[in-house]
Amino acid sequence: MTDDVVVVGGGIEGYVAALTAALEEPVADVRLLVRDDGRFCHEPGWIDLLGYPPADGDSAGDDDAGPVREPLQEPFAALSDLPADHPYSRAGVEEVRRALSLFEELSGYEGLDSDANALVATATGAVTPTFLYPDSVASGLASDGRETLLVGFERIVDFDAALAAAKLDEFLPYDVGHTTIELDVEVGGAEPAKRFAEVFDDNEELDGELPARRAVAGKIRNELDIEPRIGFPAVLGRSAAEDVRSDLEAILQADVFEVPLGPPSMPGLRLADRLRSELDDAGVAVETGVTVTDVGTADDRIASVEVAGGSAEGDDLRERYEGEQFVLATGGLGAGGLRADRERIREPAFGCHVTQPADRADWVAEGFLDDQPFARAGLAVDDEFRPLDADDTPEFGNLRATGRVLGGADVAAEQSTGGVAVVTGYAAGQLAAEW
Amino acid sequence: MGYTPHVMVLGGGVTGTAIARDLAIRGLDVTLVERGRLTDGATGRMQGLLYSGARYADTSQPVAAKCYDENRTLAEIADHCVEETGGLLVPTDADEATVESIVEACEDCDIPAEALTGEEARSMEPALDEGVEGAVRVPDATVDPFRLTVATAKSATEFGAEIRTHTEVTDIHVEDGAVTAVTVERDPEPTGRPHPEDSEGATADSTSPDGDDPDTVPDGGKQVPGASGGPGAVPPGETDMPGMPGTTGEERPSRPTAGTERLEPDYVVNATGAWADEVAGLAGFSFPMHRSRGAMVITEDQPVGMPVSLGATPGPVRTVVPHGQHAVVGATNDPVADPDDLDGDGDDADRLLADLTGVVPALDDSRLLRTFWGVRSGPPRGDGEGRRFALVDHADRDGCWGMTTVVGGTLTIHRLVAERVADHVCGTFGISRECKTDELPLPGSEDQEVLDAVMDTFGLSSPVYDRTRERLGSRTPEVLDTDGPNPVLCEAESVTRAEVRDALDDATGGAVDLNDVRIRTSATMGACQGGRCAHRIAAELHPEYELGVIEDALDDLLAERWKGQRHALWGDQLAQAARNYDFHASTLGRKYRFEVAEREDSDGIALDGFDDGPVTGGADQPVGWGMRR
Ligand SMILES: Cc1cc2nc3c(=O)[nH]c(=O)nc-3n(C[C@H](O)[C@H](O)[C@H](O)COP(=O)(O)OP(=O)(O)OC[C@H]3O[C@@H](n4cnc5c(N)ncnc54)[C@H](O)[C@@H]3O)c2cc1C
Ligand SMILES: Cc1cc2nc3c(=O)[nH]c(=O)nc-3n(C[C@H](O)[C@H](O)[C@H](O)COP(=O)(O)OP(=O)(O)OC[C@H]3O[C@@H](n4cnc5c(N)ncnc54)[C@H](O)[C@@H]3O)c2cc1C
Repeated sequence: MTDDVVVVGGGIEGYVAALTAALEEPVADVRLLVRDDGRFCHEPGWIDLLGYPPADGDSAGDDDAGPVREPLQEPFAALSDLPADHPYSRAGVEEVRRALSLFEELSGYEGLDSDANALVATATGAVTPTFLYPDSVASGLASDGRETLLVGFERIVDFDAALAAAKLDEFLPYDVGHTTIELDVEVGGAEPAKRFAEVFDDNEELDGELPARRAVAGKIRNELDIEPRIGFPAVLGRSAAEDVRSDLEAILQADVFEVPLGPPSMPGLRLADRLRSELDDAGVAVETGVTVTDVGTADDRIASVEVAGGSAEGDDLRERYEGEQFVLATGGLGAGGLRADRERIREPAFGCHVTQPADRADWVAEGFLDDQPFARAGLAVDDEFRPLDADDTPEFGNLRATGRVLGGADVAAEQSTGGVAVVTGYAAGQLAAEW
Repeated sequence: MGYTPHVMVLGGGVTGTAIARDLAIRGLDVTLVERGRLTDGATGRMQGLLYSGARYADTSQPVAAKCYDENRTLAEIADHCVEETGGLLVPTDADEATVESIVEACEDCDIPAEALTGEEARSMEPALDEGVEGAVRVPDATVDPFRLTVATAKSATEFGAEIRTHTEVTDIHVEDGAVTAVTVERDPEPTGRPHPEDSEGATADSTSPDGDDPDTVPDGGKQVPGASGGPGAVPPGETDMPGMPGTTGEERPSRPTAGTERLEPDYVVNATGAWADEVAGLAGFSFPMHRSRGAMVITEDQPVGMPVSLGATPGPVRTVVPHGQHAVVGATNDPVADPDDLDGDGDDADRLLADLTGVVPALDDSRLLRTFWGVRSGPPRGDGEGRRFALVDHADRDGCWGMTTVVGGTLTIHRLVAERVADHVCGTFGISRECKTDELPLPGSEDQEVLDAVMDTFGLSSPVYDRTRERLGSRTPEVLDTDGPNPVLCEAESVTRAEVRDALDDATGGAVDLNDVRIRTSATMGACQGGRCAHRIAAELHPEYELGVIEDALDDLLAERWKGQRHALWGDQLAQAARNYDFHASTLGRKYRFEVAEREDSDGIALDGFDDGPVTGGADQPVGWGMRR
């Protein structure tokens, strides 16, 4: 059987591309190939649009304290200033809006009502601009001027509430208080964040006495002063996160929000779960645990991809999927969508040409948080998001590239990672469905 | 009791500590000063191969034979720091030597070596390339330089020597043709200093050590620890903290304080390695030295089960040395003038791998954690391998009595070098006491925890050893049994919050240096190289330190980690670096910072113009805080 659209890669852009294609063309057969949920483990859960004017690509190594920059208030207004090869420029401003509003609908996120960026507090007590955010973040926006209490859990070490509060309190125009509590959660060999989320989901009894949600509320009630909102590390459940928060809100009589952490990020995994159920509803066939090992081509077109992987049943699964249109959504260097050997950065799935500094010594900047050239390496595409070879001709007529595998922008620096994923996934999904 | 000369040993590398030990065993008064931590020089920046001598057998028989002797001696007296893995020497096309000629040469030096066919070699070390046609099995071993040095230092203190770290020699005074005094400057940062509670009652406590005392040293030398009597002998008790200045019970200051101090020893031994000419220069002496920089890379996996060395003729050694779960691959050999010139080139790792992947192809897929560099030094002469050593008595050379400088050698033969130095010093004072260091075992081989405690005292942890054991299982109970929860902060190296706090407690006062915490605990030394854990460690500085100090300390630690990674970034380690960059720039928002200072007049940053969230309040709003009272 030949699918109409085959999307390779299980990050935000892949999910969005598959969903867009399926919604755009309900009769189309859409298939999504996913290696694992690893990519969502790294997602903070919010969707940036454009937080800072793009870096010029020059390594600003002069100041190791990091350059001071003003976050953008109006990201849409800045889109038109982006260079022509920026992924947003390829899509066009109108497409950006349409993509975000589809995503808002699919994810249940907030933020599009206002064209302005929101500021969110981070786990180390900085603020960072973002655009769309889940409910679990909404009441905690740093740009909402209400006083805040931050609560830490001793065993969730990514978030030191006292330190984060002290830093935020220093520069926010309102008070940020803190308290840190000990929850007697048996973590064992599990990842603490996942284990805590489980405890809250199931409202397990702690110390054999109180159910977890009640226990937490009890421990902080005395610390609560006048703050109308309380922030926790983002471990308040996965499947039942909404209930966890509303229970806590009911007991504590305050808004409850979460501060995202490093992997495994619960807000990221919740987003994956949510989009996954949308995919099921839209009739997209999702294959998990698979990696593309080979592609079949004919007449400058992709005819099929071969995958290998450990499926649930056995680990020597080999399968070939034929398709009309293909979307490359495998992510950047961090996710394995780009992969470097000692000489070159390559795109391993389809072997597309990767734009990069010629010399390995130039991939990397001198300071860790300087503008990293490797972050800008990636595929160059045409206006239809078709990857281009070294001579600027499309590599394949029916392959489109999306998200972090694209070059031309340091999305981590300009805070546009999620937005670029959503917008390019949407654009590619549409184009693929049109054909 | 007769006159006991007081000897000052300069340099706390493996050579200096071994000299201090030898002299102390022979009954001399010894003070060792080291400007940083023990092992801060070449000793902490080497490959950890205990040479069998086979590599030199065909070109330099006496060196080879000595090397093998010392290899055996260390395996005996320091069995807890040495792993007798055996090793393989693989001749390359460029070598004049062949498997047969190496084996023959080894026989001439009594080094047990065995000629292997390619197949035999592969059955012993499956990582070898199919193309390898033959190899020599040699008695190479691996050695943990950190623990070896600390065990040696502990032994020295047990025999009464005083070891002062963070104490730099800044001047050597010469009067009337003799060295009369040494000025040292004590680093105000007291890191590495023993815990305050340990200094109390150290000399009063005379619990006798566990049973099996080695023989006493004849000829009026100091007696071994625990045997009563003996001038200056220190009875080390369970609670005694060796390495403590003042444990000799003599009138030296019980703890050096910050600042400058003038010491007037009877004799000075300069064992400052690559800095030896610089330090001797303080007395106005000069002599030529050879220095070369060696780059090494650490692999995350362990591609080989035993050390595999390329090439037999002297020249740049290329060896993969397994350590714990990792391996150290090295080393390049580039002449440098400056002993502090540690920053190598971006292609150092490539040069190492280019030669080695032909023999150990798996290295091509190895994830490289980082690159680090060390500087070899020795007497000047062609080969630049630095394995020869020389004693320079400045009485002979410069007509100035009272100081000898030692240069060169290897870690493998350091004990022998120390013996020669001690013989020479004793000879100068007309003392004829036998060297005992070839038979007295180093402390800790019976009970690893003894050594753990001393490692702590000196502010060190071994990246080699720490992961070859159930690290947490053997930590001191005080560090583990805390009342509150004690979560792991650095997963890769299993470093807990209590361990980090413990390390920080020792560093109160002066500048905050999280790098110091790293060296004490091994935190941030795993695959993420700090990207996932450095901020957690920095958070432990709160609330004792100001916010700006904490942020700077975090930046400094990450900068140090980045320095060692950025030259060899590809494959998995570049993927990790990309995730680290994303995490810090995006999720933590640490790349750009708000300009707060300019807004001091206001109450904080202006929030107007940013999205303040969906309308809450009204019916949606929870009943309100007023109800909570
Ligand atoms: C890349 C490389 C790989 C190597 N591999 C091996 C190997 O596999 N096997 C082997 O046997 N040998 C090896 N070696 C050799 C071995 O590391 C050295 O021979 C040995 O560590 C030298 O020890 P040391 O005590 O003489 O010098 P160092 O360890 O350098 O000690 C000198 C000390 O003096 C201190 N100092 C300097 N100036 C002052 C001052 N003014 N005041 C106070 N203190 C001062 C320094 O801080 C330093 O700690 C290698 C060396 C290098 C560089
Ligand atoms: C056998 C072995 C195994 C290892 N395994 C690992 C591992 O698994 N993971 C890992 O991350 N690392 C490992 N290492 C490397 C080790 O942790 C250090 O990286 C290495 O010893 C060199 O130190 P550095 O790169 O941190 O250098 P630096 O940070 O430059 O040096 C360490 C300290 O020495 C001080 N210092 C350096 N140079 C000077 C100077 N010229 N004057 C005064 N002070 C100075 C610095 O201030 C610093 O505090 C291993 C090393 C060895 C020998």
